[in-house]
Amino acid sequence: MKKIAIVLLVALMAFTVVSCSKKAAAETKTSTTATTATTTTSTSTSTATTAAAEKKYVRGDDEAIYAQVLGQYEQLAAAAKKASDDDARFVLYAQAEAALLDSAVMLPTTTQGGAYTISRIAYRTVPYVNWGNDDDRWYGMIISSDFISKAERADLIRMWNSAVKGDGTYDPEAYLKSKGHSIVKDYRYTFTTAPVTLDTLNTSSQSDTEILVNTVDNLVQYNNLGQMIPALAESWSVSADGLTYTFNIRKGAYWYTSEGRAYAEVTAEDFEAGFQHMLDAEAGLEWLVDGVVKGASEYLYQGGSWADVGYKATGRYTLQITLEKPASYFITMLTYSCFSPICKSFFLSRGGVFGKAEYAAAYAAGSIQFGLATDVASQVYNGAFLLQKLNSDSEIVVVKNQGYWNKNAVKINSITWVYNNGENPTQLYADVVNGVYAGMALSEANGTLALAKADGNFDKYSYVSDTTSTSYFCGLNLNRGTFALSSGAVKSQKTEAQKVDTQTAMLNKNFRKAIVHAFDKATYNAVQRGEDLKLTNLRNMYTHPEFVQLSTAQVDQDGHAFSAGTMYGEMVQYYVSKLDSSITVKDGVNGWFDADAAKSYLAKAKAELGDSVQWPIHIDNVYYSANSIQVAQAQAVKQVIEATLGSENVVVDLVEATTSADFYAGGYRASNGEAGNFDIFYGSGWGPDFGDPCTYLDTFNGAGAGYMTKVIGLF
Amino acid sequence: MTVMLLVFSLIDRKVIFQTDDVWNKRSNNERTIYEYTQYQKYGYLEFDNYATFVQQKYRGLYGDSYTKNPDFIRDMAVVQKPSEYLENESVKEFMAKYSAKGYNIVYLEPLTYNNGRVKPGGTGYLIASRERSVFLRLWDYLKGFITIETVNDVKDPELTDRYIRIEKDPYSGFFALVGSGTTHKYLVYFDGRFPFMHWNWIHLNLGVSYTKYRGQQITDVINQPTGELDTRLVQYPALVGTDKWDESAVDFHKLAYNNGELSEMDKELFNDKYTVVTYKRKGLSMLENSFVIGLIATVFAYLLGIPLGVFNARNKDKLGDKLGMWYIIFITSVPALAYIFLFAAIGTTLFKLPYAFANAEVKILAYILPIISLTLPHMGSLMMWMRRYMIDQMNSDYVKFARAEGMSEGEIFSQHIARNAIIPIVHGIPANILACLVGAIITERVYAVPGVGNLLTNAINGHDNGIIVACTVFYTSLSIIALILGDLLMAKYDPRISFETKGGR
Amino acid sequence: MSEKEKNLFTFIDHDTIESERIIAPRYSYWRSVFRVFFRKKSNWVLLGLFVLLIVGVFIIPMFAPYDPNENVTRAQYFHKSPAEAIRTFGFSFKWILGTGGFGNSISYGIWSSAKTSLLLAVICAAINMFVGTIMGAVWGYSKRFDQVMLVIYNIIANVPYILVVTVLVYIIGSGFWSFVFALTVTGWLSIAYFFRTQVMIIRDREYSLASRCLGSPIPRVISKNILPFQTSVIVTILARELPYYISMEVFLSYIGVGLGAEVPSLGRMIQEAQTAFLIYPWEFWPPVAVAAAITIILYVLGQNLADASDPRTHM
Repeated sequence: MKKIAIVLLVALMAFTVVSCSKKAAAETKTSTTATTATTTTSTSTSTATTAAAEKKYVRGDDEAIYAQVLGQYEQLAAAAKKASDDDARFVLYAQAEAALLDSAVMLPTTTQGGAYTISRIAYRTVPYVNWGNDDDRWYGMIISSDFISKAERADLIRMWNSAVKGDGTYDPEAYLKSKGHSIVKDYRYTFTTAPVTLDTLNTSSQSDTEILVNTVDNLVQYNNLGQMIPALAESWSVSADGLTYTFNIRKGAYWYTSEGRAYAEVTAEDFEAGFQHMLDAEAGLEWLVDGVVKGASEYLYQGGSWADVGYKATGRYTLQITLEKPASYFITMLTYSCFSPICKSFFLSRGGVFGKAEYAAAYAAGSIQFGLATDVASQVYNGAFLLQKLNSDSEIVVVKNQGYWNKNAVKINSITWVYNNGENPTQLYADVVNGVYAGMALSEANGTLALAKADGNFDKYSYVSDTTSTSYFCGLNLNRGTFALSSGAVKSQKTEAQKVDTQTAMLNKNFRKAIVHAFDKATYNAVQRGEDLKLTNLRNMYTHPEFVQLSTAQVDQDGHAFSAGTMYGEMVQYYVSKLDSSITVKDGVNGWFDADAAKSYLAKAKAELGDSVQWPIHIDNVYYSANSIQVAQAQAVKQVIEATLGSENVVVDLVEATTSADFYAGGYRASNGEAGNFDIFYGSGWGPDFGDPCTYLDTFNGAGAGYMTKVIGLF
Repeated sequence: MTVMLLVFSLIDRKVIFQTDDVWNKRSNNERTIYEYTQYQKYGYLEFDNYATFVQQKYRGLYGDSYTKNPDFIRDMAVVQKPSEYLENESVKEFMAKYSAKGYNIVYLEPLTYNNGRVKPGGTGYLIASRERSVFLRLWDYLKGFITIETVNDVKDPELTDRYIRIEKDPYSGFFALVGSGTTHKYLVYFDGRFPFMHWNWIHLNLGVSYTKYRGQQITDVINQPTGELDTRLVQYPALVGTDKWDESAVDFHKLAYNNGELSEMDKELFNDKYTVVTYKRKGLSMLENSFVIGLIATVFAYLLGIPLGVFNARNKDKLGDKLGMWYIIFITSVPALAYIFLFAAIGTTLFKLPYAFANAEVKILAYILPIISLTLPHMGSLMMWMRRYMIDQMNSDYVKFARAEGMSEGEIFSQHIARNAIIPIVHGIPANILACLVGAIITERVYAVPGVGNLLTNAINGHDNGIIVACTVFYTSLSIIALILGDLLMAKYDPRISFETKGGR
Repeated sequence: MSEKEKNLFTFIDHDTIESERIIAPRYSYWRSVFRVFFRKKSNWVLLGLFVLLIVGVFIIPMFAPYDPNENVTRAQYFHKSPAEAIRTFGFSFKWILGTGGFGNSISYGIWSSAKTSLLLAVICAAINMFVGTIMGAVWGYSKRFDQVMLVIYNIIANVPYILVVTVLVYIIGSGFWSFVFALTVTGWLSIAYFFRTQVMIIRDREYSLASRCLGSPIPRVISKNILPFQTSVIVTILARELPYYISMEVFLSYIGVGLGAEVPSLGRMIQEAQTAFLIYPWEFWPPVAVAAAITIILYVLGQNLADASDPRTHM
């Protein structure tokens, strides 16, 4: 009896194994056919075949469509790249961005931040910068024992602004003490995902970096006034041709163990080791330096040797970096974790190896015991704090490094992150009020906003937090290549004729403008954030409006003058108003929604397209049906667009994705433009990596160089 | 184990990329190569890249300057030419070599736009891959289950003096078995901590985590204490006997070999190359946390639930019974999270008990709310079942007879009814005790207790197949033990039940 | 006796067959059960309430069509308490329980949701109970089958349930019936196991052995000797299972098996209201109350039926 059962079980398992491997084989087959298919050229769609009864959808040519729709943008962006002077370049990029926004292929929606917040932390005591990881360096935080009132905050803001202009120093500690606050030396915060590794160069995920950045210093850093200051590099110089940077490493900075015992001195070799390790690990950080640092691409992808890479320690305390071509914003990239050092001797002692193949082999064999998240002893630290405890779903603790080279700037003694997955916001709010946590962002959905209003804290202490530089946006698919996933799921309900019609309409600029001006961002946002907060985090241009500013006055090629100190966003506003008067680019307003303009653009589109398309045009919007917020948002988008434009003209079809994998597969995780299974997709976002608008705008470059062109269905 | 076979074969391996940022940023061929790399790491397949093959070939021929050799450059570049690569000598060698070994040759064509420019991630690749059967992977897992340290563990050619011998241990005052060339220095040692004798020469491995604790042994993860560093006055090995003491939490019995170079500080503090340290910590490990909370909660549940069930049965339909019934209904129909939050709210506001485990200053207090939250539903269920069994017994003939005989109600209840009713409950005791180790998943999540229950749920959400397999192995073994114990206990308790066939059938 | 008196009496023969006839009314087990059950007035009330609930759950949605997306574009109506909702929209059945996270009407919502959840729970419970009790009885009775089943049980029951469901999602996808499948594929096993324990306790009692000696086939022994004792246990399990399925619904939809956010169900309503239930109580307690009402009624009815099922109370 037993034997029969065992035989049956084995047979069952064998069957499942076989069927699963068949499935796996089937999948690999489809992927190879897909790759061969994309190399065949496809014919370009010509426009109107008048009233053809049998329309067949054929995907157009990416190059041709890109030239038609974003050709002007590309020209302006190329001109900007050639500019030698930073300020001149900013002006030209403003023009390029205006062209991009006017083309109505993408619609910026929201950003992060912009929430009502109550807090005990003094204004801008952490580094103020819009890119890189320095804003997670919390060593300079001034934390009070009480909430900071609105009046006090206004004073602090005033003092900060003066200090930035050079008028006095910013001393929030003295100010708060004079107002009767006492200063707290330990900071508590919440976290949801713990770091999975302590090796800063082997990860690109935010949840890892946020915590580890407090334990490792880079060459340079931003301070709380937004200025770049030397960190482990005391000074640096650039060669005349702008290709070689030489850094002098500070003497007397050490690596410390978790307990605070000095392990080894920080030398230039540590930076070289960190860079090579980062390229070996290929954890997602390397693309930033790909094509920027000399020899990096070859080392990464073509078997080049390390000797040819332009990142070398030329002395015990001298580091030399060589670039492929001059880039004046290169220094601003150095705050990124891909330029962090590692302690070379410690790395080697823990089984670390250098060299791509050697590293891959050692990693696969599991012999590297460096930077393991379960063992704080597997890493050494040279930053303001030492990591003492990491319990993944419970608690993470860092304590002040008594041997830190910049010890006096460190104002807090410890940071503790406590696990919180948001399930009990009432308790979290109670903890915040009791002083366990220093502050929190209030939200309507989880009721904390209502609690704060009820007990008066909202009126006394709340302020709207800064918006960040990450921009989320919505894309329109100009050259749709997929109408269902390979499994048959998430299938578009359009007929062939409708597919052709949508394509034709999408390539018409007035039609696109009608759509983007009919998309009510505020209502869309309100579904998630509630009525009170629906405007505060809206973004209306791609780049952060205050990303850069002019340091000197500039005059553009048409003679218009901008004064010194003009923000980038103001310039973009000037140029875009000349092209489309319904766009307002500043943050925090519903800057694109204009029902009347939408209707008039639609009328123009109808006149231009005439009989070549059948109205209504169908637009597919994919949503994830197990997520109630997505369902509601999809419904809101549909209702508003159809109400504004009329459902006899445009119908938004909601296409259901029943699993999150399906939802991502045709949208966010599509590997190229052809794989995009949508007509409108509002889930993309981008954050900057260094201080130049090209970090955003390059994502829409043509010929596949732009990472985001796949969101508009191209390349 | 059959369970592991099921897990290994049925879970689609593509799932490990769902939350992988790196995979997401890559496209086309690069994404495929990344997938192959990750699959290899987790033992699903083996693959070799043509580029590595060529590199090794030319390094062997020309030494370190092979990168400048024109033949090398040509052979590397030919992969990007789909119409030519098959004629290339190195390519033919590569394909022949690997086909002979049974590998599949996969050519990932370079992907370009119409103007010839390469698409992102569109570089061509040539690789050879071979799937590893599920049984091989299972065999790997089982093989690695137990590892024993030997003097040849350390691959450092400079280490010539390899031995295992008994030495005097300066840290415990006793003798210890010390090795040179083994991974750990102290193979067997004694100290004042239970169970007094410890060994490093043998390790039990439940597997390696894939995503959450990337590449670490899961046994380590669940056995490490989770508290503060346990700092004491100690002397580093090179300073033993001098008057230099340090404050440190280093556990000198767990020193491991340093395969690289020693730093200057290390040379001052250590005598040999065993300088890789781990720290001692206070507090309980994840396993212990779950067990403690679960065990105490179970004990309370039994201590409260059974008498209450009996009480309810005796006072059937009276006020006490009705209150009990409302309690059971409350616990069953209100979602677990809700009543846990309710009790937590009462506990934190009225009794000032700490909520999040990490926020408690006095760690013992941090255990109170989780234990209460775990006891409540358990108690309710025990109450309900005990009452049911007792009422069933109350109507039996033997009870009527005992009453007729003149036994008091109390005697009847305790000596007859309770004993019979408790049989099925007894069956469940071992299962309940061992279920503590599963950790109350909801409770641990709510109070952020570092425990084993949390580990499994998060592993499943994070698609960490390694942890899932390890936990499954763990629980399966425990459940089997619990089942057998339960059956045995029940049979022992009630002589009428037997597991062998009786005579006469 | 005199001759006259003798004529008043007729001699009746001893009829062996007649003498075996039992004149007392026939004992029908189930009729007695229901007689005892309905003797209690509270059972009438509860049963009446239950019928009313079922009827309401199916009839009310026809008059009160639930549209969860009607206020999705008007965020000012989200999370409105009953008082605020009545102030804004005027007093009506629709707004008497306030609005939820997307401006949806709670009072309309709970009826549509209850219908879905009840249907689901009843189907799953029926399948699980049916399969579980039969399998459990056989399992508990046959010792050799026991050994085989224990092996199977160890394998299946010890794979974490979440894992089983994830694999299922991959293989069969989601939808109403996949949901039912996910809940029943291992659900019957725990009932069967539980039952097996019960059966084991009884099967070695003397009267069972006696039945076997007398030649009763095993199915008869199971159905006549063992099952009736388990009625009370079965009913208790049933009363507990239905609310359990409602909460499993929540958990499964979260993973991706199931009805999705568009089909209203009690489990989903509860889960969405759970985080802020101390702040927006009107979103949380109504669906919980409906689920609790079902639980209470079933529990009490179940316990009473269980008590009535014991033949010793039929006097």
